[in-house]
Amino acid sequence: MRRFFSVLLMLIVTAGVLIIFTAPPALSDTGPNPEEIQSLEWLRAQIVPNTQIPAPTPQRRGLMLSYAAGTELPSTPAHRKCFVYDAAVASIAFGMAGDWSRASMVLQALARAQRSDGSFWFSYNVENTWPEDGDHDMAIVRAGATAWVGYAFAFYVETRPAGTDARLMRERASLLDTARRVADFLLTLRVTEKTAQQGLLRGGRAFVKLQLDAAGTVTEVYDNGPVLWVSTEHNISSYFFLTSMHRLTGNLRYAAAADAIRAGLMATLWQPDLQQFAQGVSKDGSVDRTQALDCASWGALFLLATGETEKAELAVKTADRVYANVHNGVKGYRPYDGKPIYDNVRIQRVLLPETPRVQWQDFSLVWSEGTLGVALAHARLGHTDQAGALTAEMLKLRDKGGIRYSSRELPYEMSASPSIAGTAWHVIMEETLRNPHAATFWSR
Amino acid sequence: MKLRLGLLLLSFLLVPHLLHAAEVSYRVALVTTQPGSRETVEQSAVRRTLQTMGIPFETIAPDALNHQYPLALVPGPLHNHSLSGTQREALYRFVSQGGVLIATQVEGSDWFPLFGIQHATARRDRFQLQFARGVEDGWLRYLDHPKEQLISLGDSRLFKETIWTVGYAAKGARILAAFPDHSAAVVVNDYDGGQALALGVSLTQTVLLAQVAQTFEAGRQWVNSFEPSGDVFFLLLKGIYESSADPAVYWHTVPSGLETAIVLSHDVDARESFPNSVLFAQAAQRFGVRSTFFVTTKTVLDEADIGYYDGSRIPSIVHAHRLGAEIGSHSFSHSKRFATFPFGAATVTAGTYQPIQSPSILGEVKASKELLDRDLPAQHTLSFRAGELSFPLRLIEALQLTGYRYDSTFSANNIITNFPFFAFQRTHLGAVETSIVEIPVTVDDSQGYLTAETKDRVVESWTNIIEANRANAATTCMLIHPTDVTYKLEVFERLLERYTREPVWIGTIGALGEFWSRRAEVKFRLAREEGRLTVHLNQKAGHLGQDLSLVFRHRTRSTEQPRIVDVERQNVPYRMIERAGARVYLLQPDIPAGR
Repeated sequence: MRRFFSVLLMLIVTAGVLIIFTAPPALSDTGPNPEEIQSLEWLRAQIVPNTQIPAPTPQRRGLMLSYAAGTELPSTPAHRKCFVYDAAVASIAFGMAGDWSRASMVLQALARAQRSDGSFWFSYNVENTWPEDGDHDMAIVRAGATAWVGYAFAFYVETRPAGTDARLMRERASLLDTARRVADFLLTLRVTEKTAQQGLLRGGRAFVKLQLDAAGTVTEVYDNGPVLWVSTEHNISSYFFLTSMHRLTGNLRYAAAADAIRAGLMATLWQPDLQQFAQGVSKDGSVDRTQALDCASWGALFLLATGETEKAELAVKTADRVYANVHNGVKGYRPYDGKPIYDNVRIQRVLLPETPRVQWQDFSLVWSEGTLGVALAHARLGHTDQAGALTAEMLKLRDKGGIRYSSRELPYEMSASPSIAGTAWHVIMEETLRNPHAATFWSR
Repeated sequence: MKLRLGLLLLSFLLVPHLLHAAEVSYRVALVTTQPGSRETVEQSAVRRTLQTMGIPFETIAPDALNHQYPLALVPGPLHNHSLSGTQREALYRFVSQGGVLIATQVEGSDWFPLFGIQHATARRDRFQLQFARGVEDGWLRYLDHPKEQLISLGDSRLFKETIWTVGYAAKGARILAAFPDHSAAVVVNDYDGGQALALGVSLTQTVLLAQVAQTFEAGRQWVNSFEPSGDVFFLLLKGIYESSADPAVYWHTVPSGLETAIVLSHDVDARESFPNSVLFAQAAQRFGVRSTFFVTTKTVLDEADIGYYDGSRIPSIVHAHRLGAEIGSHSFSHSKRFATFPFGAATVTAGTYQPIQSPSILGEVKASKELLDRDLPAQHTLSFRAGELSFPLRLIEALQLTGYRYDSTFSANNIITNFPFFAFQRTHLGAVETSIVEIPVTVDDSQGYLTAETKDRVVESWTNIIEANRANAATTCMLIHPTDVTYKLEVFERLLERYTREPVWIGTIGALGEFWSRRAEVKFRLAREEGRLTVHLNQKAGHLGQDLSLVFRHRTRSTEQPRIVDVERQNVPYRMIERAGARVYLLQPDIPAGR
């Protein structure tokens, strides 16, 4: 009996000690499962400084390396880069999981990186100061990525309990101001001409194109001009950001801009025959009917948020029907359908010499981020089993703690490295499947 | 059995973590890139600022920064290459993880993200600095007087350029103070979990330069006013420390845990002042206080006066001394040319000194000390004030050589501080620090300031000055020449009438100087032992005196009473005084433990 009590006492002491030293509970009722914990830990380790970049350039401190350590050669575009979309999604994932301090750290770093016009470069090197206004060769600005960053600020401000803490209130005001500048930048991209795409946002600034040089080597060519085409994905992302900004600020300009985007998407880009949105509008004003997965999956989330439930069901069915495939035993989704992997056949011949003419519909590849986007659409439509199964399937892409971006490497297109995008979307899906608070994300 | 062992092992592993969590975070980190090497001038300025405020600190390398230090100070200027990349990252990490960092003169762009700065511009034509109002966090809580909110950095009517300042354009940071050109003088930035504050001035140029009397005439008056333009940096640091550490613990600046110090002094440099001194000493005695009489020991006729230090007048000084007065030296000849005197020879004596033919600084201070020590029973002259408040470049060096400990020659308004300080051997930056305590003069009756007609106004004005210093736990050093025993004595008595009834320390130059010296020698360390906050002193109880006090300020309400022990771990009794949200523990080592 005495032995029983001594063991019991030790158990109580140990349990008490463990309770003291356990991290504060997340917003969720049950707390993250081990897979989500692993993803969160991997994401935390991507914030610089980390073991890979112990002393980042001070201006970029707190940003995140988009891909795992040691998997990218210095010559590749992803080397030591933080893609702002990735940092934004990661901060949303941290927030959903209740890790507000990490969410704040990343958002503060993004705020420091904001350009004077309110926009963000598409990616930032964390080891040096490229790009900056005086040195931005090869740097681009994209409306979609910028909108995601703005949404991450707004999501934090809208979701984190404010309380009366002076410091939190200061942070809230500061981040909201940063988000407001993002929104105001996006409004400068609106198509103002009286055309079918009036009210939609153009893509941003600058392009990087692939070309073959005289020696037959693929190189990147930079064009620093304005982007004249319109992307469906950019506009969906901007819609969610602008509605959020309207809720936070009460500014009717943002509501009106969001409504114009909604109207433009529905009138011009919804394709009844494809049962999904088209990819966008080309610079000549014609609809670009390229089939892209996010125009179906994120399109479904947009349709749900705007009350078009039937179309949302159709779009998700399209995603399942058109993009689903299996690669190396992993079931998931590819990003495109009905077009070559690379637009330029000669380039495809160099980069994919064994399949020089292959098109996406014949190409096996699982894209984790895209697949988890479909999972979210299923979850929002109440298809919880499918959502859960897709989320679990992506764990097959787990590598060194993170979720690989895709099941195979495609030069200049898809990395097979553990990625923030795949891993953060995994956290978002885990939270969606069990945390009622996650329902506020991209739903209004 | 295996389970039991496992649990036991786990408990053993976790207990040290529990103890670790109970460590007391109270010491400020003074960050230097090369600990152990000769300190830079700015580092010395930061150290002296901390010492003046009695704030405990430790000099460490950037890599040693951790959560045990609630506040870190980095002596500037901070350029991009002032620290290595690793050291820079250590500072960023400290703030990111919740620390508060203060740096002076942040100029390198690599530091701008930390401090929330867009750019920094160094200039020498900013003559004022205006602090903001309504700043939360309590950082500016002591800067509540109009002269503390708008400070002077030099007199633009006399100089085209003054001290170096760095004006900031904020990017994310809050502006706590601004220069007249609207650039920010002090910014604070919320960075991840912590905060970083950039000060656009160096403490070298605001604190140290003043202590060697090089202020670009920043004092808005020469004397008889409240001039805190240098003190605001002490007070700013104290406010930030109190808001950052939990508990914040520091040595009080006033003896006996009282609210402010008033030093009573009289310059006896006229014939009639000798007999009058007795009446002033008697008045002080009636109020239970003591004052210092600085006596000019002129024994020769010169262009100003006769040799009035003679057998007819010395008995008055002896009488005042017997009444409890401290007798200090007011130089040998009270010469207007004292500041231009050569240093002289250390071999000079009262017998050999020739003030007319070969005047010297050493002659003035040594001969007068010898005469006083000779003529007064049990006299050991330790305090000095120069005639005309004239300050030769090597005065302190001369005082040090001749055995003085305290000086009161500077004008507090002129050197923009109201706290005692350890004087430098010479009046230039980089001069050797001495153990001579300087107690600057705040108010002075001379040159027709105090008359029968102005006495009421003077009492009011001096009271206002005392009250302003009281709010800062600073010192007011009063100088009244005992040339009159009607209105001057009346003013003296009216002030004593008021302040001897209040929790205010009143005394001599020597008593305050001795307190200041002893205070500097006693160090303390805080630890939580057996669950109780314990203060370890580095001295035996017998060396502590009865007037040292520690101030504790907790961020959250605490009823905990610390244990205070001396170097031999003997309990040091204390008396607790609650004041304005803080607790003042007055050490009472002579009271038997347990009472």
